[in-house]
Amino acid sequence: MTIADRDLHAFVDGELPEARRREVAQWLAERPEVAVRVAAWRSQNEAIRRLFPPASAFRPQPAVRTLPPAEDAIRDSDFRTPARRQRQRSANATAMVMIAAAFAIGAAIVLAREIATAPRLEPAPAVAVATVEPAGVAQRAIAAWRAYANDPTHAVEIAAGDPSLGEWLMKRTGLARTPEMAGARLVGARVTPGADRPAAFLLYETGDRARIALVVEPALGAPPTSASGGEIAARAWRADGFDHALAGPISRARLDSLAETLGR
Amino acid sequence: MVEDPVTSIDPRTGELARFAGALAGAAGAWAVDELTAGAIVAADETTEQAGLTPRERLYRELIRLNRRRALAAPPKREDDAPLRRAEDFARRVERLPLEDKEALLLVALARFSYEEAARALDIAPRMFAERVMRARARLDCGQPVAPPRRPNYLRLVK
Repeated sequence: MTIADRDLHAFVDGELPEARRREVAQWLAERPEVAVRVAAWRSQNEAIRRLFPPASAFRPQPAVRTLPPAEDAIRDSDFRTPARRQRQRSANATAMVMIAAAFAIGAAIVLAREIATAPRLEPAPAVAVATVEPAGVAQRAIAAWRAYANDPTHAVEIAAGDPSLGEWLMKRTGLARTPEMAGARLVGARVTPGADRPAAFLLYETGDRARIALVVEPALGAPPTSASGGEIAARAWRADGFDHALAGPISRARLDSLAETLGR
Repeated sequence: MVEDPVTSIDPRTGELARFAGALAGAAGAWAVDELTAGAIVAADETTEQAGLTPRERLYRELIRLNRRRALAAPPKREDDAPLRRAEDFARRVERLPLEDKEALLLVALARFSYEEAARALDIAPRMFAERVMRARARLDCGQPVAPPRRPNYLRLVK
């Protein structure tokens, strides 16, 4: 029986037909030194899967989900051709028409009963419907910048020179190191509310005295998106298992270049 | 049902972004986002390619875009240094030659079969297997390996 290296790799990756797989397994059982190498390749595969966050880390949070949950592996049904998409759209449109018709019939019945039982209809109270936008790390960074950045005495809880700063941030937020921003000095940090867990709020000051906030919190849900609010813009990105947002009263181009120095 | 463009997310995004992060994570989160979105758009716009499943087409587009990005990016100086035994596994994966890294990630992370992956890369299955073997040999901590070369990616993917 000839077993080549190629067979061993195919064995690790589940590429061999069952009969051949059994042959290779038997062959390996008699050669422990080769079996160790093969086991190492299998471990490499597992290590690679562990290295990168699972697909679920990129899914939207349940509160804002509008699509049914996807399996970890992409299903071919997710890859709709234009023709299939068109069919799906038609089906959706039909469903919407049916729902609207059912709603209208229901409303008509209720209204008819009201008219029959009440001699005089009171004016219906006005109902205010509030739409709540899901806030992302960029919005939180803008809000935190507004709340703290220009506080003359208590902008941060722990100043940059304090040796306990790094350990405190690590304990509270999981941030292993305080990012350095080229062209700006760290003023200090505080902890602010994040989406799920506490976020690190790091305040920097540029050479021209502009105060820039970097908010870092554990990655959750869909990748973050940038935002702006009035004169404050926030650039958001995901890296190393954390969502980052850089916010300040400076141009987006300058925010971009500062974010570059942080490895966005 | 009408999808809300703000809160809806393409179901392909998660797995594809994971693969893009593995392939080009060192280039930053925005590069990964751009690759992911770009591949989805390109795959949707591409007319049916003979013999390719939609999933294979999507990964082919992602790999093509990443190769273009890699060619445009200046090579890092540290790439000339040989990989060493004690080097962190993640760094070793990151510094694999791109063709070998693509092959290994397609199998290990995206769980493509050799045949599917070879189709996505538009190469023969035997050549694909060679790349996987080469990647594993380089990741193997036994010996320092040669510095990665800079192949002509455009020649290999249309």
